[in-house]
Amino acid sequence: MKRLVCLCLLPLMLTGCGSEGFADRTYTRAIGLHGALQMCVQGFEQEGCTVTDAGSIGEALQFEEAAAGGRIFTGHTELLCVDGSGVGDAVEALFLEQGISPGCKVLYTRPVAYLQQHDAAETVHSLRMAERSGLLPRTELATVLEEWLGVGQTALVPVEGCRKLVLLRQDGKTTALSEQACEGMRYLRHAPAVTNVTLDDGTEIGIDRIRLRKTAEDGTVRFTVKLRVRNASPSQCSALHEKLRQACEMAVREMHTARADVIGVQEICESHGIPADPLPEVQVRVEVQQ
Amino acid sequence: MLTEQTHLPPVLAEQLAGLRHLTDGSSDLLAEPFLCGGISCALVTCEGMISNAALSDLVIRPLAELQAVPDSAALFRKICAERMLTMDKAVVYTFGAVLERVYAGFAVLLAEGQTGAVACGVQGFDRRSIGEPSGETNILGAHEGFTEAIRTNLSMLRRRMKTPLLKFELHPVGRLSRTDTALCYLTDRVPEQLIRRIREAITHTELDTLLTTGYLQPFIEEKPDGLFDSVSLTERPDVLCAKLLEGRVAVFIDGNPFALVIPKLFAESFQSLDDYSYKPWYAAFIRYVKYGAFFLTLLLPALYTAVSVHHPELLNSTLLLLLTKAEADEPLSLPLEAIGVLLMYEIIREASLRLPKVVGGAVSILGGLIIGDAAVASGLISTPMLTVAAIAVTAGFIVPDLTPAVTLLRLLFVAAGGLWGLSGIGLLGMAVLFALCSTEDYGFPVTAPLSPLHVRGLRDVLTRIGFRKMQRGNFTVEEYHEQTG
Amino acid sequence: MNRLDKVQLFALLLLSGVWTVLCTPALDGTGGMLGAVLGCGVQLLLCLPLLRESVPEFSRTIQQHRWLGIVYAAYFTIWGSFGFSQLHDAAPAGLHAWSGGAVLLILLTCLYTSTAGLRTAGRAAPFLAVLLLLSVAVLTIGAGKRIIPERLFLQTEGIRSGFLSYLAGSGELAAVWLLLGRIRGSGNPAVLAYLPAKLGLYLLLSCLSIVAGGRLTASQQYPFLTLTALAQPLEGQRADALYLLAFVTLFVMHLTLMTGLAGHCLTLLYPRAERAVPLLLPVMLLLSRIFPGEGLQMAAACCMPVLTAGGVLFAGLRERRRAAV
Repeated sequence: MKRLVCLCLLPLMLTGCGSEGFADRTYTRAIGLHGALQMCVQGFEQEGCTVTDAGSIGEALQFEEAAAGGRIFTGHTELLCVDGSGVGDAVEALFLEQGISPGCKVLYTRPVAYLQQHDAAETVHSLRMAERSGLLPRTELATVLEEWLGVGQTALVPVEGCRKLVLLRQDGKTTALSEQACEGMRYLRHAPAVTNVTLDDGTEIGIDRIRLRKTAEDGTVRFTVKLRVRNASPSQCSALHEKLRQACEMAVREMHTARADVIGVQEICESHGIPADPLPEVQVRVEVQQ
Repeated sequence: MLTEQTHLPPVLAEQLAGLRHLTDGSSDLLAEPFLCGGISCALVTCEGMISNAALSDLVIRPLAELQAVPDSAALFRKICAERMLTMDKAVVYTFGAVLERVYAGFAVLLAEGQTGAVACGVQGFDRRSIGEPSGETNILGAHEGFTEAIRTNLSMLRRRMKTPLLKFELHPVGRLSRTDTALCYLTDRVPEQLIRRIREAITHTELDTLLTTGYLQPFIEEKPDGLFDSVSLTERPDVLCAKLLEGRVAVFIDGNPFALVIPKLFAESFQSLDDYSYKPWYAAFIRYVKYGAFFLTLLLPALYTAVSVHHPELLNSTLLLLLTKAEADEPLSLPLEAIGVLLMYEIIREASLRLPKVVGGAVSILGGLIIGDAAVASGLISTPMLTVAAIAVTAGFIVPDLTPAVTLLRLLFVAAGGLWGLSGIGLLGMAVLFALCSTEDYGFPVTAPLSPLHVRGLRDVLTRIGFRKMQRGNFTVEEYHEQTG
Repeated sequence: MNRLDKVQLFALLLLSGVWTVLCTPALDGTGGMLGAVLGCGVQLLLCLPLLRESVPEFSRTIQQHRWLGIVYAAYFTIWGSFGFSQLHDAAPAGLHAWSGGAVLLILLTCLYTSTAGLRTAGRAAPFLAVLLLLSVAVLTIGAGKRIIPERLFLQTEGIRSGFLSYLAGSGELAAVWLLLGRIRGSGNPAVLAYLPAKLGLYLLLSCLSIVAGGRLTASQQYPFLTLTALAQPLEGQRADALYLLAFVTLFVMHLTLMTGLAGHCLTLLYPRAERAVPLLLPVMLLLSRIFPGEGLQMAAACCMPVLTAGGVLFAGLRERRRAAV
């Protein structure tokens, strides 16, 4: 029996000898999606992008492969550019069927124009640096998909330029956040890794530690942001407190207006048995300690 | 009709004629008639097999000093009972026995009127002196290795183990060659049943000639077609003593410097004597380097091929671009390239083994510079592939014991990885694991002490504990024995 | 069949059990986890008759009641064919494709491993268990970055479905009586360790799916397989292909065990059937293509409690009656 099995396997072994190699594939670095469905693809070490119109992701990739003359491999895609044209299903298909990494960055922009003019590698680098320095909250494909499955069906996505944020619904409806709300959002999503904060008068205050605590009491969800600062006077602490409180409250207000939940309110509600639809009131408290 | 089993006739002339007839007048058979004690005798030797000095000192001079005796029976009585002549003395009665002794370096004394012959051991054939073993080199241990002479090897063991518990059993094997094989074991550590089974395997071996361990090994192993050996080889007397102390059995073959050791454990392939000379923490570190090297040599080319062809998402983008540029202009597919490089390495390795030492250096130049450098420069092979193959092959040098299995499996894994990706590697790995786990001899599984688990045995597998602790407990491999049924 | 030791028995049962856990089609949240804990308690109760000192020997019982041997052989064949169903149904989840070549390769590998015998499978099992633990460790590390603790909270919904689902996925329990008869010494520690170990792995994977996968894994079929896509230890690469190694080895081990057990039952009844044991594999594949997976699981799940505890109780009663006569 063992010999028979080996004999059956041996000829099969040789059939892999003509398999494709690295050079037979095109590796995408960035994909842009618009409407239903225009896809543009930027490969590694490629300037500009190739644009295809198709009915679905699978079809679009087939057309791209025909144009490129080889298989398109999306597993290394680092950047996904979307706009407000309702590409939620296409994004989901890219993740579930085409094997895009869940850590792929998502950017809100005009996909075709952006990828034709910009290098995706630099954009991804800028996004990562911005996240590391705390300028942007962490936003990835998996996070976006998960937020679209929530009550608000809205995800928080950075905008071209790596400074601002938008609330993007799965159906494409978009709400741009103000600058103050963007700053507040940084503290409400995760505790950012900032080492100093600049007050309105230009004073920089060093931050030792930031903690974010989410609780729910009496039907109200409370977010508490605790900062430990160093070498700051009491007036500076109170100015910082005021600045952050206003920013966080603005973020919550704009989020409520858009009927979105991008700061984990639904999870808090579910864990405390509070109905998450409609989203309850969210109170924000900021504590600054020396 | 005269055969080897024919008994010696009482007439000296007929004895000599019979010997000449059976050897068909072979020129190395020397028969010198002389008078000893007034009786017609003849001394039969084989040219080049005896020591002339020993012959003249131990045999000829004492015989020449003998006084006249009434008959040949009295002569033999004097020689056998009153004169020692040599330590190694026997009386033989058939032509075959006479020739066997003569070709073993004995001087055989025939006498008129006697149907027996006295054989005296005066071996003096040229033999290789004890030197460094060809493989199994180490830094801190002895630099002695076994030689082709079985008795020298036995003496090397005896020098290291001066205990009466160390027993040697000699068995001739081979219908034509009658090669001496020696079974060696410690009587207090090896169960009688194991000895009996091995002895039966050796004595019932159907061979015409026994030239090397490979001839005998299939008769000793219960599954000779297995992928992994269940019998190990060693050229070092210190290593063999250590294995005998663990209750194993060794088999020497005259004419071969390697001893077969039964049973073998897979984990032993990663152990060397130097491990016990270094501090435990360093020895443990080196062990893990060896384990890692084993997986590297077996799987690295396959993983590279599988990832490149089927799972490029596992590579980071920098590495991906590097490899894409390197492989861009390659005419062959990755699996073929990998198999080609590995086969080329095997050709170079085999050539360097077979070439005379004088031209051996040319292989290095040919293989390294011309084939390697030129092949890469011409674009036939990519640099990453050559690097991967070189790392895998170099890692394989750490476990030379497993070279045959690893060489074949490496190629099979490359084919499986190229064809089916990581799932192919996983499935082939399962098959190899099952092949390894099914390997056992005489009830000793090679995967012990990992599976079946013996916690005490892990102290020399997962780590190397200090020697003070290791010596306690009188460990023998009998603990790993599994009863069948 | 020759003797296994406790560690091998533990590893065999765990690997077979974890295969079914990995192919869990849906998550029921923390309620489902509570249900699984209850399910484990029921499994322990079912195993109690097997953990006594004087348990009737399986092979002797089968030889006295041949119909029981047929039942056990049929059960293991059905459970093995359900494994094929799970492999087919989980293919869209992305870890392993279901194609002619892939199935042929798996079948050939299983043919080879099943001819090696249960003793060899027992020796191989601890090595694969280590690979499994390494994979789980990498998965946990990869998922660690995405953990949001607020997602984990106590729920009472899903206890019943979690309980039934966990119990229905414990087909390997029926093998305990057979395997205990072939172990050196007492196998009780192995069985008593395997039950909480499988539960622990299930709870760990469920926890990770909830806190790291969140709504993404909750909305997908085969949440644990989706978790492997989310739990990436490295930022730039997608490393879930590495879990493929654990996936295929688990499946081959599961199928080898079921084939070996069914073959052992048949060989006890018809010694000449030993050579035909590998043919059980194509039979299992065929059954999986003919009958729906849920049907196979339902049939096996109904028989499992009976065969786990009922078989040994029946044998004990008959022996006592024989002794009284």
